[in-house]
Amino acid sequence: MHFTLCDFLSDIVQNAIESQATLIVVDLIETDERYKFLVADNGKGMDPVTLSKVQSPFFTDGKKHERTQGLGLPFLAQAIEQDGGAWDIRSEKDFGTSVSFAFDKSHVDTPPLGDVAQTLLQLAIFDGDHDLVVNRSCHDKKYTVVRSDLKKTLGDLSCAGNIMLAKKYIHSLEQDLINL
Amino acid sequence: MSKLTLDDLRKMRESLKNDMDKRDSEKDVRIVVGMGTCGIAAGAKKTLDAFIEELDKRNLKNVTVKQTGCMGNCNVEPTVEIFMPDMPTTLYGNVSADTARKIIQKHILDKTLLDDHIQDKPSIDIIQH
Repeated sequence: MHFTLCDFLSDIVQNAIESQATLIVVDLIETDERYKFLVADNGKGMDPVTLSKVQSPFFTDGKKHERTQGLGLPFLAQAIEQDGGAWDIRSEKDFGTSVSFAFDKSHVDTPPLGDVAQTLLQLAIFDGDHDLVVNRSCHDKKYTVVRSDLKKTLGDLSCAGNIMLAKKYIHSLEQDLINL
Repeated sequence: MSKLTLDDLRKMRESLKNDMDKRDSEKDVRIVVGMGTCGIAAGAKKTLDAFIEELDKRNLKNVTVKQTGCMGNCNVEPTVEIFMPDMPTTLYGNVSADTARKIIQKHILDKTLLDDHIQDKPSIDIIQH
């Protein structure tokens, strides 16, 4: 089971990357009461029959064709069932998928948010040809991280030196956001 | 630290350019961290972060760091595969942040295997062709 809300986010974005999406948009919105997440991709999507199976831990799609377990969405559904949050998935074959979920900050069973900057870095440097846009907001402050901008500025995002610079950049944005 | 802009980032990258160009051979060293559901649940993000921090500390700026999905060894996550010249391609399991630092010292710099963490290759049905 995942420990933090950011772990759930990493998991769902990894699904989007594996769906052959060329664009993934992530919203991470923090208000006084809630954490709200949205992950939308333009990947291969799912037909209604496949979509109806995604909550089952004994279903997976894609390259692991002889495997029968997929725990990403079941983990999310279970965590939300425990703490009264909400989640939704919409998908259309060949057009993409969007997953949204929200957790109530005041509920005792809500997992900790986790390290947002570390997570956004991890997502931004995940290998692939896709673009990733992350809109992060906290109360009335916000920032956006765009993977293609980082690539244009730094070059190869799998090179350790460039990753370290991206880390400093994303940490400075997050730091500025949470220092109200 | 004040808020950085993409322009600041570009300048920081420029100032590193000469140093990084000199280290082109490091590009042959590739670290791949498993970041599937199993990896994330077992703490692979901390492992990834430890690699990034330690490579920076040891000035190994041109080493390649990548992530992949589930490699079929969910029981020993976080898993990490290392590709480099003069060493066999090696899959390590149970790679905590501390073990990640040891991999950089022993496997990458000293060219010695960490016997306690070596795993068999991923299950055949999981490998991407």
